[in-house]
Amino acid sequence: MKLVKCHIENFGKLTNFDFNFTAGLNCIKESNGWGKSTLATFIKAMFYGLPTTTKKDLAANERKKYSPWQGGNYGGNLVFAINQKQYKIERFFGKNKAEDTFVLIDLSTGKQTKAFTEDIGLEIFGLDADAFERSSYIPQKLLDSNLNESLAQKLNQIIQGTTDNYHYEDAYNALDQKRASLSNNKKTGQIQNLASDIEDVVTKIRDLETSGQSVEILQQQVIAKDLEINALLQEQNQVKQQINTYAQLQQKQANQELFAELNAKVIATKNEIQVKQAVFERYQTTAAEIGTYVTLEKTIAATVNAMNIKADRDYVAQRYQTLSHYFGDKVLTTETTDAVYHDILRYNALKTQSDNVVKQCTVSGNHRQRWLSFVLALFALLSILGGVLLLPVQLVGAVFLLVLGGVALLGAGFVYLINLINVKTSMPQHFDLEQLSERQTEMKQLKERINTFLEQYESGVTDYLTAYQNLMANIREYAQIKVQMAHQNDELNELSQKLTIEQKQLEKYLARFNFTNLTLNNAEKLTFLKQTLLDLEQLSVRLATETQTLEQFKTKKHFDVNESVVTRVDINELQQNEKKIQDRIDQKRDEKSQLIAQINKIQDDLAALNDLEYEKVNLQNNLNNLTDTLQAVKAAMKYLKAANESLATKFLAPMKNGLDKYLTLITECEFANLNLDTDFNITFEEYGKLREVDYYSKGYQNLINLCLRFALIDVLYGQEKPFIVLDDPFVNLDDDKIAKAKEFLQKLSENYQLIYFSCHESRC
Amino acid sequence: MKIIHCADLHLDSKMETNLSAAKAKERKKEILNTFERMVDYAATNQVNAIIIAGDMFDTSRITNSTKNRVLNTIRKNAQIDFLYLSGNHDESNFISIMEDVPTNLKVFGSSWTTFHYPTANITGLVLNESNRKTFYDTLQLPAEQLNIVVLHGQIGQTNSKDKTEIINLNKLKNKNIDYLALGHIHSYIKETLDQRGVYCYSGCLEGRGFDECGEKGFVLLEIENGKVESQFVSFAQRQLIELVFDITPYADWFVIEDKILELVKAYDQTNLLKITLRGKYPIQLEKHIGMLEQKLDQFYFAKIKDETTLVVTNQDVAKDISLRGEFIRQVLASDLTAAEKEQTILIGLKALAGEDL
Repeated sequence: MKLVKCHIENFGKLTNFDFNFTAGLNCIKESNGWGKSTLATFIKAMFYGLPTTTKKDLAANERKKYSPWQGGNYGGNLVFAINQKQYKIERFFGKNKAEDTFVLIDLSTGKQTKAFTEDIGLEIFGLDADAFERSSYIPQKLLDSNLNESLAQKLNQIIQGTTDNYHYEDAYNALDQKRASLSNNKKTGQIQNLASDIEDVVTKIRDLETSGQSVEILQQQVIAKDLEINALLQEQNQVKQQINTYAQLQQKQANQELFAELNAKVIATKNEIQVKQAVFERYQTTAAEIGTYVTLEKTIAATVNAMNIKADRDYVAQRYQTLSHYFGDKVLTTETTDAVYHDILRYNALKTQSDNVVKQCTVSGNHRQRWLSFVLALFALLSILGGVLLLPVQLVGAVFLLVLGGVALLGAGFVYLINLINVKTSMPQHFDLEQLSERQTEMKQLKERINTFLEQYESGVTDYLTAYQNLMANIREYAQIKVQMAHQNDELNELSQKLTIEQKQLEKYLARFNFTNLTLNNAEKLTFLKQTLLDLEQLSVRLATETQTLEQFKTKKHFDVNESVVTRVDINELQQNEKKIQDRIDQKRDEKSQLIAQINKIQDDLAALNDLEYEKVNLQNNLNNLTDTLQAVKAAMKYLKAANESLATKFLAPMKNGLDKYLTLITECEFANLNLDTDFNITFEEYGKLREVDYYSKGYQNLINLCLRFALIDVLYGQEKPFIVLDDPFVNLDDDKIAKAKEFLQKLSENYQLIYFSCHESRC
Repeated sequence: MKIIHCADLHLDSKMETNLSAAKAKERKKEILNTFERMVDYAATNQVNAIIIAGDMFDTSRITNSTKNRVLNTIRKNAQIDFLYLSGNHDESNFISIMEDVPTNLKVFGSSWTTFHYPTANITGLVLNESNRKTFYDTLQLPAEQLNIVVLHGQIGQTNSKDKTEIINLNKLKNKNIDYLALGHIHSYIKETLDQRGVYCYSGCLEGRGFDECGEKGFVLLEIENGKVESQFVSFAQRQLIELVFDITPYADWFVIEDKILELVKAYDQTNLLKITLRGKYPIQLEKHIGMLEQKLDQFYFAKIKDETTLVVTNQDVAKDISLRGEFIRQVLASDLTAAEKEQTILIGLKALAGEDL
C-alpha cells in the first residue's frame, strides 16, 4: 500500500493543504510548529476516522484537538494505491461520529466503491487505530530516550495498546489493588466491612423480630380479654334485664297509682260540677242573663242611693222640725230683729267701758304687795320652825329665830293690810260715779230686754251678738228648708215607686235558683250565680282535660289497670350485682388497655425494622455488586496475565529475528550475543555475562530502538506493509550515526514508504 | 349513592429499594397522605361509603403514628362508612387491638357480611382456609336488589402455595352480582363478570416499586336508578415510570444520551423514573451511565438499569495484536458466563486504559 497524495480542507492548523507522496522515502523538511504531527494524524484519520471520547484533555481527544482553527469543513481526502488500484478516501468530521461522512472512490472508475468500508484502516492493515499509530508512527522521543529505561516499556505500549506511561504491570497492579480493597478475606476489605455491616443489621433485625413475636402473644391476650369482657357484658345484660323487669313492674305500679290519682280527680271534678249545677236545677240561666240582672241590681242600688238622699231629707226634716219648734208660732219681723240688734250693740259698748274702769282700779301695786307679804310670811314660818328645832340644842339661837319669825309674821300682816287699803283708794279720780251708775242701770235694762227676747229662742245666752247672729241664720235656713221639703217629697215618691218595681223583678229572677243555706243579699246572689256559672264552665274544661289525660295515659302506657304488679325481686341485690360485674368489666378493660399500650410500644420500636430491612437489602445489593466486581477483577487479573504471557511468547522470536536483521543492516555487524526476554528487555552476552543495553552509547541505543520498532512492524503487519511516519527521530544523533541512520532509511524505503519529517537539512 | 372502591394501600410498607432512606420515608408518608386525600375527596363529593378491599397495611408492623392517623381520618369523617375487608397482607389485627372502634368503621368477617344501604347491599367475606371452598355456595344475593360483593384475592382456578387466595370467577357468575370489588392486583382492571355484573380491581393508591408502574388510584361508583356506574379516578401523587431503551442501533453514547433525554421530556419530573437499557453494544462504545443518571436528576427519582450486552467475538479482536486484543480473546475463550465475561472484559479494559476501577 502506498500513499499517493492528500488534500486537507481543514484539519487543525492546516487548511487547503496538498501533498504528493512518492514511493519510498518522502523527506519533508519543515520547521517546528509547521504541522508535521497534524499531517501525520490526518493520514491516520483518513484510514481510521477520529475517535469520540468524553475526555477533556486535549491530548487525549483528537477530534477536539484537530478541529479546524479557522473553521470550515473538517477533513479532506487521501489518495492511495493498493493492489494495482488507486482509491480516494474522503472523510469529513462532525462533533461526534454520527456526524462524520466517509466516501471511498475508485479512481479507475471515478465512482464510489464499497471495496472498503469506513473501517478501511483495519481492513487494509489488520490493526486497529491504536496499534497502527503505535507501530507506524515513530516520534522523536521514541529514539531520544534511554533504551534501558524505555525499551521494554515502549514495546509494551506498542503491543499492549496502553498509554505512554502505562502498561501491563500498571494495569495488573491496579487490578490487584482493587482486589485488595475489595477482598473478602481482609478486615480492611470493602466486602468484609459490608458483610460485617450486614451482620450487624441482621442481628438488630433478629432482636427486633424476637420482640415482635411477643406482639402476636399480646394480641392473642387482647383477643382473650375481649372474650372475657364480652362474657361479662352478657352476664351484665342478664342482670340489667332483671333490673329492667323490676323497673317495668315499678313503672306499672306507678302507672296504676297515677291512673287512680287521675281518675279521682275526674270524679272530684264531676262531683263539683254536680253541686254547682244544683243551683241551676230549676232554671238554667246564662252569663248574659245574669249580666242583665246585675245591671238591674245596680240600677236598684242606684235608686237606693238616690233615696239615700232621704238621709239628707231627714236632716232637712229635722231641721225643719227643730226650727219649727224654735220659732213656734212667733212671727219675727225685721223691725223686731233690728231693735234687738241695736240693744245688743249698746249693751256691749257699755259693758266694755265698765270693765275697763274696774280693771284700772285693781291692777296697780297689787301684785308687789301680795308678793312681799307672801315672802315675809314664808320667812316667818321658816324662822319659827328653825327656832323650834334648835330649841333643844341651843336656846339662844332658838329664841332668836323665834323672835325673828314673830317679827316677820307681823311684817307680813302689815303689808297685807296696806294692800287692802290701796285697792280701795286706787279708783280713778276722774270717774263720775253717777254717770257710772246710770250706765249700769242702762246696761241692766238693756240686758233684761235682750234676755227677754233671746230667751224665747236660746237659753243661757251670754254672748248676745253671737246669739243674735245664730237666730238670724236660723231664720234664713228655716225659709230655705221649707222650700226644699216640698221638692224632695215629690222625688222620693217617684223613686220609691220605681224601686218597688225593680226589686220585685229581681226577686222574681233570683227566686228561680237554689241558694241553699246561703244568706246573701241580691248583689251577692247575682255574683254567686255569675261565679257559679263561670266555675261550671271552668270545671267543664277541667273535666275534659282530666278525662283526656286519663284516656291518654291509659292509651300511652298500655297497661292493665287490674294487673297484679307485686314483685319479690330484691332490687338492691340486683344493682349491687350489676355494679360488681361492671367493676370486673372495667378491670378487664384496664388490662386490655395495658396490653394495647405494650403492643403499641413494641410496634413503635418495630417501626425501625422496616428501615433496617431496607438497609439490609441495600447493603446486600452492594455486597453482591462488590462480590461480582471482585470476581471480575480476579478474572481480569488472571486473563490479563495469561494474555501478557501469550503475547510475549507470540512476539518474542519474530521480534528477536527482526531486531537481529535490522541491527545487522544498520551496523553492518552481527549481534549474535543479543538476548530479548519476554518483557522485551534487551541484554548482550559478553564474556559469559549478560550486560544491560545501557552499556552501549546513547546513539546505539537509539538505533537499537529504531531497529526494534521496524522489527515490530514486520511482526505486526502481514503482507500489506504500511507507510511509516518518522517525526524527526534522529535529532540527537551525532553525524556519524545520522549518516548511518539515513543510509538505513534508504534501505528501508525499498520495502516501506517512509514519510520522514525533519526540521534540519543535515538530517534529511 | 356514591361509593369509593379502593384496595392495597399497603401503609407502612417497604419502598423501592433504590430510593434513599430519606426518600423512602417520604414516600411512606406520601402514601398515607394519598389515603387521607382520598377521604377528603370522598367528603367533598358526598361519597357515602369507602370500600377497602384488603391490604390496607402491609405487615403486622403498623406504627402507632400511622394507625392513629388512619383512625383519626375515619373518626373525622363520621358521615362516611369505611367498609374494611382484611387482605393477605393485613396481619396486624388492626381492629382487635383498637380500644375504641369508630362506629363508621365496619368490618367484613370470615362469613358473608352484608351492609344494607337504601340503594345497594354491600356483601363481603375475608377468604381463608376454612371458607375458601364453600364461599361460592354460601353466597346468596337477592336478585331484585343491587349487589356489590367485596373479596380479596387473585382470580384464577387453583389455589397458590402462598397466602394468596384464589377467586374462581366462573363460580361467581349468575350470583346476582352487579359489581365485584376486588383487591390484591395493584393495577386497575375492569372486565365483564356475567350478563349482569362486572368485576374490578381498583389497583393500589400509589405505586411503591417499578413493578407498580402507571396510573394508580381508586374506583368511584355511582348508583342511580338501580344501576351502578364505575369510573377509575387517577389519584396517585406520583407515578412510577419504566422505560426500556434499546441501544443496539447506536454506536455513539452521546446519541444514546440525547435520545433518552428527549424521550423523558414527555414525563412529569415529579414522577419516579426507571430506564432499562437493553440491546447490544460494541466494545468501542464507551458508556457513561453515571453521567446520564446525573442528567436525570431533575426527576423526583431516576435510575438506570443497564441490561445491555457487550458484543465482542474473537473475530472482532482477531486483528488486534495488542495486549487488549489478546486479553479479550483469553476471556472469550474462558468458561465464564456471558455476564461474567462482559464484566471481566470491561474491568480489564478499564485497567489497561488506566481508568479508575
